[in-house]
Amino acid sequence: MKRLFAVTLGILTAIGGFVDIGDLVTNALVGARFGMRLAWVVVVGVIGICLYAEMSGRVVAVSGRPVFDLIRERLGRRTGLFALIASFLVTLLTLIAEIGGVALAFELASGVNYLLWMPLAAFAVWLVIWRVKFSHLEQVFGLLGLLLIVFAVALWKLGPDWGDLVQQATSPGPIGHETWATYAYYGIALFGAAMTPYEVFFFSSGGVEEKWDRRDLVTERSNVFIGFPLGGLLSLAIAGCAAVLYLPIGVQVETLGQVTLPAAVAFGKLGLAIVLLGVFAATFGAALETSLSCGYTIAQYFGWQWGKFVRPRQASRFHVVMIICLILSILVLMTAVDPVKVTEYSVVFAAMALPLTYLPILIIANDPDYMGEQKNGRVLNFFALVYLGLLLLASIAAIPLMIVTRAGR
Amino acid sequence: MRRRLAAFGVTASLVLSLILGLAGCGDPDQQMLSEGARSAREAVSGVRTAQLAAQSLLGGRIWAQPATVMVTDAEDALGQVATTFDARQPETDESRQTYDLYSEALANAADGVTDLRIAVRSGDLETVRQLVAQLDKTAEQLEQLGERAQ
Repeated sequence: MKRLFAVTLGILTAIGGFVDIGDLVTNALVGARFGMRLAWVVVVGVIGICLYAEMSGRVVAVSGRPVFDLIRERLGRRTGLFALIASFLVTLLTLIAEIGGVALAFELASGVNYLLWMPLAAFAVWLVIWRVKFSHLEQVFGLLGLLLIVFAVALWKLGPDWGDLVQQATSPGPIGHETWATYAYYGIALFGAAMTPYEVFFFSSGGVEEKWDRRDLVTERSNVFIGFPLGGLLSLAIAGCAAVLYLPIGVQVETLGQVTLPAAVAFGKLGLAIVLLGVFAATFGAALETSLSCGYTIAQYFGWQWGKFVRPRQASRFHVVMIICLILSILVLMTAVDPVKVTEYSVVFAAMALPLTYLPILIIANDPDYMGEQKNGRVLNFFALVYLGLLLLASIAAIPLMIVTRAGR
Repeated sequence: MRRRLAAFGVTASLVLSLILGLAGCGDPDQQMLSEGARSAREAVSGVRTAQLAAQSLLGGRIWAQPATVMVTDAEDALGQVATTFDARQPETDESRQTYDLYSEALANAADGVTDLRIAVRSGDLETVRQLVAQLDKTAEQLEQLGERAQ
């Protein structure tokens, strides 16, 4: 019974924790501009993150060591450094976007400018990381993130023409004044949002924090194969709401307020309150995860003591890295850069860094010295290689498309 | 070796001239129309968002703070669209006419949303109701202007 509870809790946490500011903004933006015509990218992205998150979780459960630790050991310092730089910078950019997201949620609720909320948000992130147990912070914000299910209920309440939504989803391609270039650009952005690198680092390092072993493979797989796809459905619901409310009247989503408005239109003040709480939980939870991931990647690469399973004094450099990242986030956001724009860029840059993140994981998951009998099978490797090809394609096309479309304009 | 270098120089110059030619020598009237139409479509987004937020406020679906934030964001976005378009330089009489037409429509839209923001912030719901109706016409006009070019 206790085991079943743990598995269920893990799944619920994975659903609630799947959506972050990148998913919120990108799905709403894409839904408003293309309807459900890019829904297939979410499906492809969710399958991809499931494949690679399962691999990294399995690596942890079998070897007892996190992915970046093994990347450095298996691929050497220089190759590991490439993966570290790419993944770290993207994770830092995502952290900046998440802190901005938390501040924007408070701005919407209070009317007070987000720039005033932002240092408080960053301080709260540090405080929670410093004081709260790992399992608690993961569960509380993951479960609160489940409030975003309000998007799915709002979609139903808005009374869409379901046949039309299905027809959109099964007719990929640009519409109206959109071009194939913008369609491809936002496809890559959605792909990057679904497969954000920090998700696997947090997932694998979290496995070490929670002392996973081979017996935890069931929990790990149920989190990934049930929790993530259900989280992906939330992403589709966000896109669906925007497609129903905004596409017919030509609204382009550029602010967090626009992302949340469909819930208010469907359920009034209660809907708005729930969605704001859900957005806060999703962005704050992701800010915790990205802060920790910044610390994890650097500390694991350099072989420092890391993690919340030891006292902060014993992992001082790990905590210093997180504090520096949070200060950097405040400084960047203090320039009054639009957090939504930062989010849009972060998901595209994430797409560019994806091969450097996922190739090492694939190599390690195939190494019998680390994995023994639990190394990848042929079928899994086939799909993993197909995905690696897709990741490479997205990575190469991201910058040219960004230039050609003037960042999706 | 010199021949190769010379050939490379000629090819590079040709390619560069072609790129510069394509970038700078488009039909200025058409360029102005395209840019105006694109700006009008972006402006529709701001106007409709402000309208939707204000309607939600009137219907008691959101409280004043988020409505103010949403309308202010829409105002900022519209201001940016109008400023960017106004910075363009018309090169012919026809493009000047196009410029004036779109510039005026964008300015009207921006002014309408500014009035709406003032009314929302001061809690003047009667004015909000009137402005929402006015913005409907503004949005329709912008939609028509937005359809004049790709």
